[in-house]
Order: sequence, then structure tokens, then C-alpha cells
Amino acid sequence: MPRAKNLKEAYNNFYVEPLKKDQEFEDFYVERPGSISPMADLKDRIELASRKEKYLFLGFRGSGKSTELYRLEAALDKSRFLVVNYSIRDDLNLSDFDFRDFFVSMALKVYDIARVEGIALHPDIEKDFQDFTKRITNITEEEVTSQSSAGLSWSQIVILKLSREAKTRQCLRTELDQKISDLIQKLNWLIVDIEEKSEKELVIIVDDLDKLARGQQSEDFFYKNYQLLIEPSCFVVYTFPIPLAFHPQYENVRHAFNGDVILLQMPVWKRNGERHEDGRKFYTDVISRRIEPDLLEKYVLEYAIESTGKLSELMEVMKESSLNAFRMGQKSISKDDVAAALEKLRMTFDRTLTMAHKKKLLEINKCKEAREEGPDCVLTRELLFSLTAVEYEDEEGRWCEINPMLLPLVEKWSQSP
Amino acid sequence: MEPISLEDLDEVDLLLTELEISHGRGNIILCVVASQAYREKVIEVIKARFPTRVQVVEKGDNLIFDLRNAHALKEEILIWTLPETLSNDILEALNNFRELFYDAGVPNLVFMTPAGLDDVIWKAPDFWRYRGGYHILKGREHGPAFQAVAALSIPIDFSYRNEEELRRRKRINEYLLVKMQNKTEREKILSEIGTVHFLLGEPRQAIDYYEQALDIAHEIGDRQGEGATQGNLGLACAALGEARKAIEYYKRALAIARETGDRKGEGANLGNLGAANATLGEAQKAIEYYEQALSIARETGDRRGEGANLGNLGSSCLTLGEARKAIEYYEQALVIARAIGDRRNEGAWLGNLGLAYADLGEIRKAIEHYELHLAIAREIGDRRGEGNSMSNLGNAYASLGETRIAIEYFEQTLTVDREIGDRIGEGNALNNLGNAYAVLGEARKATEYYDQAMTIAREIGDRSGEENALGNMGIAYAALGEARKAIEYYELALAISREIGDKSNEIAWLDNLGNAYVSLGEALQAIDYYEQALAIARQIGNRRGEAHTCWNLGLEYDKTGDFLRAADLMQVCVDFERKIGHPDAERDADYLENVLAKSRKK
Repeated sequence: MPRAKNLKEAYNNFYVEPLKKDQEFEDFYVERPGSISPMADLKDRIELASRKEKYLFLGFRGSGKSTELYRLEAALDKSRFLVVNYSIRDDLNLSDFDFRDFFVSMALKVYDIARVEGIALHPDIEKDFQDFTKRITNITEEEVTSQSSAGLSWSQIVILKLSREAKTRQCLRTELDQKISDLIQKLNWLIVDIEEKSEKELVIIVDDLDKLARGQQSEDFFYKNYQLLIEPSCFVVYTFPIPLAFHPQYENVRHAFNGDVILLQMPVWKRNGERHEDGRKFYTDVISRRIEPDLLEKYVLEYAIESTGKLSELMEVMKESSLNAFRMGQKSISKDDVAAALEKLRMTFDRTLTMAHKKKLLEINKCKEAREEGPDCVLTRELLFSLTAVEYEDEEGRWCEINPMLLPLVEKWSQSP
Repeated sequence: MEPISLEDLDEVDLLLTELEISHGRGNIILCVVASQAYREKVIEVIKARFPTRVQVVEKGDNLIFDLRNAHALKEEILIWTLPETLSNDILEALNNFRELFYDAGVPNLVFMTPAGLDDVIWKAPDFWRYRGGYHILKGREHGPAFQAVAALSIPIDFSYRNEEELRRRKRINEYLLVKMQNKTEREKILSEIGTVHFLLGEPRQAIDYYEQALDIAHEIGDRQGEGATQGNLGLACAALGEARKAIEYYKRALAIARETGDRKGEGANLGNLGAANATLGEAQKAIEYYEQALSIARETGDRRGEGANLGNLGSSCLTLGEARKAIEYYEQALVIARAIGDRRNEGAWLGNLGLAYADLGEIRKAIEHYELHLAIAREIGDRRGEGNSMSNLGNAYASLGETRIAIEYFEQTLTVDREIGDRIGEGNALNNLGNAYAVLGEARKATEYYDQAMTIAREIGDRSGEENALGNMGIAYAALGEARKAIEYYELALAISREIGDKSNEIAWLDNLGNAYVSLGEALQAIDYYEQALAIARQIGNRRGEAHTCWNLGLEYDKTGDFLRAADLMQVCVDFERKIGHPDAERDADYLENVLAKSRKK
């Protein structure tokens, strides 16, 4: 993906999907400033650990978690590690998500890596696993035969049935109610066998757990089942929804894991109001990697960076600005184009935020802190989920800000009682 | 066909640009439109520019299935129309399967209501964040011609002069809310804050307060308050484009109003049910509700409601081709607008009366009304009204054959349209100027105007404007005696009318094609086109088109010596003209008599 030379290419280069391919990394990736990157932190921890550790990987929506996890996968020493990197959205129905389905899908991913890597599992372990999954999902021999002939693997057949049939999910959950430890045990047998045969350590990376749409869903998953999440006998990195870290229960859960690594948004201002030069440079580099500098009028990028202060939103605003400029037949993006894109987003948020949200945002703007008043209060989490509030970190610590784009509305909100 | 609203031209242009530059690539572009009818118009504009496929989304599972099986062609645009209220399964499908839109490899344009957008932002945040652009369209504003005056606004028992007064009222109520413990008082305060939000154009916040008020009304058993708030919730939902949800609220409010004997509330909710059904394109149902509402407004002495319901009934009738009935309603609405000093609506009803008279062929009378409308528009500084009335005057003088006067009006219209940036109006004025010069025999000059009109229409994606310009080009070439060239343009116009489903114009171009072949002496070809036109006119119940085409066909059969068939067809036209009181009726009846005489001789 070459750097954009005109506004049409710019529009198409400003996409917010995670980087996956080598070429994309080469063209667009920008290292975050700071002493150690979260990816390097995770890599070091895994490579140095003597025990099979479990980590939480936290980050805001659109901050680049998936990109960092792809980098982690690529960076781990392949002669020592076998990596299973997957998204829960690949196989599971997120609108009907349950921790029992989650562990079945994890076991199937592990089972599948043996097939992909050409590792011959111990026949008893394999048969035992197949029988177990057959029983809990009620798959018939006919189904297996017909779908195998269509070219599907064992794990694909099970996952397909599980994702498509609510009845199968129900059956599985009832079956596993009393047998979840059975399943974990069979998962661990698979892990041991694969590690033994491949002479490598298994690293499971579970992406998109932070995408569990309903707050209650993710709370149930992480807070009621966290003891199970540390059971698999290999390295596991779980993505974790950062708004949940503002839940009073987070402190209890965090200690069960071996580390919580955070990918924060790069700030553009320091907590004391001074300019954060490193953060600005990071965002400038991200944009400069994607388009030629002469597509931007003077000070335009700085204006966009200051007004968004977040990676995905900066990308979104630059995309819209390039569209505005293209339509007007300009050669480059002007400040007016950015201002129009920002105003549109600002007005949209202003219209959708409730008074309680606005009040909470004013409070965050004033005290730079975001804590829920009690376990039943969800306001802060909603604001963090929607990115109308955001947490930053620099060498002096962490703090919370309202989305910089909303700052022009603060005065208006303050005036209404 | 309703054009894209002037206010939205820029945004629609931006949307088309975005579709253009992401052509052949996966992308998610959102388009927010409150009314279904307006959405269809926007889709037509897009269809005119790109090959498209429209997928109606009803359930999340189906959306996922359709996305996986889209198999889009590289040049296609996939259009997804979401329902007015988004269920959780749809929101989750959008959020969790957003990559499928990108995997489709073509731009996906997703239509939703303003309420749907709110839900997407909060409940499908990943879909929202991983999209391309989003475009919020305002829809057509209520204008003077063929438009209903906003039926019945939210009932308020306070007056205000400006936004500042409204905001002050809101602050006072918020202050009182903290102080008051009495539930009846709190219900009243909450309801009033809701209304202030509604008047400030913040229906979502209005709903928040109305719902709180409704809870209290339930709790203390205040049935009347409950009914009023249900009605207000309906209005707020309607403002968010959720017409079906609004209808549910109105129905509940109506039931309570009937139960408590609240006649005024009953009338208001019936009127609102009419407006909501009109939004959904259910004209007949709308008329039924308006009629019931009207009778209650009269019974309770609600003059404003009476005027609005009468005017709305008039517009519904005019849409259904019942001009005489429309005139009666407009006349009554006019009397009321004058009695209560509503100048803008007085102008609007006068303009609409002019259109109804023009529909009946009473051009002089139409001119009188347009002039009155123009005078009021100038007096109150309504520039768009001024442009519309001058355009109507130009058309009227053109119909009378006073082409030079028509040209003067069209030129003035063009100036006003350019001043206020009304591109569609500008295109129409250019088309009208072209027509006028064509009538004067200056067909080359006419083609220059049509060409300009065509350029504007293409620039703004106005397919129906383009179609008119092409058809007019054909008419001009026909006038220049270049029938083959005329046929080429008519065919192009015909193709667009078929593409955008404009049946009335399809009939007109088929008729003109018939005429062109008549001029070439190719009677069989001509009859073929006229027969096609007649079949469509009958199929869609377009009595005017049917009459016109019957006349043309009759003339051809007359020439071929098939007098009986000719007379049968001409009789259809004469009957129609007599029925609507058209001034040409007796002249055409005389012609028919001659044909019948020939058939008797034969």
C-alpha cells in the first residue's frame, strides 16, 4: 500500500482496520514512543517466564490492540513457540455468548493447530476429545460423514453447528454445567500432547474479548469465571475491555493473572496542560506514513491531532476530511475540511449524549479522574466504551480526559443546569 | 416525483463522491434519513449513478446470511435498508460481523433512521467506528406547493418568542424539579421540560423526560396526563423518523382520550395518526384519520387544528388527482389561515389553489392565485415562495401562449434560484426557458438551455431533471424537423423514466415517440408506442394520461379510416375532459362528432 499521492488514495489509505499483512506493517506501522512497548512487554514476559502465565491485554476500542497482537505473534521465537492467535468473533455467536462455548472453541482451536502443524495427537487423547465434543454437541455420525466429505475438519464441523444452532448451544451448556472441569482437563491434555510432540510451548492469543457488546455479558465472563480463565496449562493472552477496569471488582480479578498490559492512547497534552511532544510525533508519523505531506495544508495535521487525541478517531476525521477536500476539487486537505468533519462528529455526539452523560463528562474534565460511584453505576463505563471519555498515560502517571473533540461543548454544557 | 431537498444537495453530493472514490472496494457508508419515501428518492439518485442492489434488513441473522452470500459485482453498490427501529439482533450482527461488509469488496451503503443512528453509536460501537463516512439528510422541508402544513404540533399551554425564552423556561423547570416533591407537580414539570426539548429540536431528550412523566402518571393514576404524554412520545418518535412507533403511541393516547372523554386530545391524536400514515405513504388511511380529526376539531372549536386538517386533506386529494375536492378543502383552510392571521400558510394555500386550478385547465384563475401568493411571499420575505410562485406564473402564461411574459417570469425565477442557491430550481427554470424558446420557434436556443439544465441535473444526480432535459431536447429537435434525432433523445428519456419508475413521464415519452413516428409517416410504429402508453396509463390508473393517449391513438385510427375504433378512443378523452370540466371538452366533442359522422357514412 504505497503512500497516498492524491486525495482519492488518501481516503482509501485512512482505514481503521487492524494491520495484518507484512506489507501493511512495513508501510504503515509506527512504533509507540516510551520505554517499552506493550507488545515487547508481552513478548519478554512470555519468553522469560518459567511458568505458563496468563495475561490481560487492555486497550481502548480502536487503539491498535489487534495490530499489536499480530505483531506479538510475528515476534515470538518460532523455534520455541507455537502460536494460536484467534478472534472469538471467528467462531462464536457474540449475541449469545457464554463461557462454556468459549472454552469449547478454545479447545477446538488447540485441537486444530495440531492438524495444521501436522502433529499426530496421541490416539486416546484425540478419540477422547472427539467423543466428548460429540456428546456435548449431539453431533451424529451422519453429520460428521456428510460434512467431512464437504471438506470440513472436525473442529470446523463442531464450530459450525455451535455457531448456527441455538439448540446445540443450549445442549452444550446443559451438558457442561457440571462438567466444565472435564472440558478444561481435556483441553490441557491436548496442550500437553501438542507441546510434547512439537517440542514448543503453546501461546494462545484470544482477541476481541473486549468486543462483548453488552456490559453485563463481559462482566459475567470476566468476573464470574476468571478462575477458569487461568486454568489452561499454556500461555494465554486475553484481550480485556478497558471500561471494565473501572469496575470496582477489577482489583480483585487483576491479581489472579500474571500481568495486565495496557495499550493506552497516546496523549497530545500532558496532565498539567503542556504539549505532549512524543504523543504528537506518534500521531504525525502515523498519518505521514499513509499520505504524502503535500496533501496537507500547513498546521492541518496538528489541528486534527489536537482535536481528536485518539488513533481511530484521528483516522476517521482524516478520512472524512480527505473526502471533503476531494469533492471540492482541492489538491490538499485544508483546515476547513478538518473543521467540518469534526463539527459533524461533535454535533452527532452532542445529540446522542444524555444529560447524565454530559454531567459526568464535565466532572471528568474538571478532575481528570473517572471512577464509578458504585457497582451499579455504568455511566463512566458507557462513556469509555463510546470513547467520549478516554484514559491517557505518560511518565507521570495515568489520568482521564473527555474526548478532545468535545471540548468546544464544555462551556455550553456547563451553562445548562 | 419529489426532488432531493435543497438543504441536502451538498450532503448527497458528498455521499455520491464517497461512493465514487470507494468504488470497487469494501467500505461501510451510513446514510441517515427519517422518512422512507425520502430514502427511496435518495436511492433513486444513487441508482441513476451506479449499478446497485437493495437489500432490505429485517433480522440480524438474515443480514449475516445476505452479507455472506452477497457475491457483489465489482462495479456494484450494495444498499442495505435497516428498519426504523433496530432490534438487538440487528445491532449485534452489525457490530460483530462488520468485516463482512468489507469482505464484500464493494461499497455498502447502510440506510437508517436518526433513532437508528443513536442506537448504532451506543450499541454497535465497532460498526460505528470502522465505517467510512456518514451522511445525515434532513429530508424535504414543508414548502408551499403540494405540501401539507405540519399537521398538529405538540400541544403546549405556554407561549414563547424565541429560543432564549425556551431555554429560560427549561432552566426554571429544572430548578423547580429539584424543589418539588409533589408527584402531580413533578409530572407536569417533567412533561414541560420534555416539550421544551422537543421545541428545541431535541426529541431524544424530550423522550427521556416524557418517559419519566409517564412513570409518575402511571403511579398516581393520572389517566389524562398519561394520554397526553403518550401522544407527545408519539410526536417525538415521529420526529426521529420512527413513524410506526409513533403510531403505537398515538393509538394508546387515542384510547385514553376516548376513555376519559378528552375530545381535543382525541382530535389531536387522530390528526397525528393521519400525518404518520401519510409519511408511510398510506394516503387513503391518512384521509380517513384527517376526516375524523377534522370533525372533532370543529366540534371543539380548535381553529388551528381545523385549518391544518383541511389543508392536509386538500393535499391528499390533489395527490390522488381529485383537484375539485382539493380546491374545496384549500378554500376552507384559507379562510381559517386568514382568520387566525397565519400569513405564510395563507400564501401556501393560495399557491396550492393555483396548482389545483391549473390542473383543471383554469389558467387565468390559477394566475390570480399565484399572484396573490407572490405578493404575500414578497411581503414576508419568503424567497423560496417567491421563486415558486414566479415559476408557476411562468408556466401559466406559457400555457396561455403568452410566451414572452412566461420568459420574463422564468428569468426572474432563475435569478432568485441562483441567489438562494436552489440548484434544482435553477435546473427547472432553465428547462422552462428552453420550453418557452422552443415555443417561439427558437429551437436551437432552447437546446442551449436544456443542455445547461442537463448539466446541472447530472452534477447533482437529479435523474428526473436529466430525464426532463433529455425529453425536452427531443421536443426541440422534433420542432426543428429532426424527428430521428428527437427519437434518440426520447428513447434516452424513456430509459431513465423506466429506470426510476416514473410511470407518468414514461407515458409522456411514449406518446412523444408516437408523435415523432407520426411525423415520419410511420403509423404502425406510432400506434405501437401509443398502445404502450395507453396500457401503462390504464395499469396505473392515470386517467389524464389515458385520455391524452386515447386522443392521439384516435387521431391515428381516424387517419387509417378505422373511424369506429377512433371514435371509441376519443370518447374516453372527451368523457374525462367533461368530468373534470376541462375547457377543451366541447371543442374535442365537436371533433369526435365529425369522426362519428364519418363512421356512420361508412
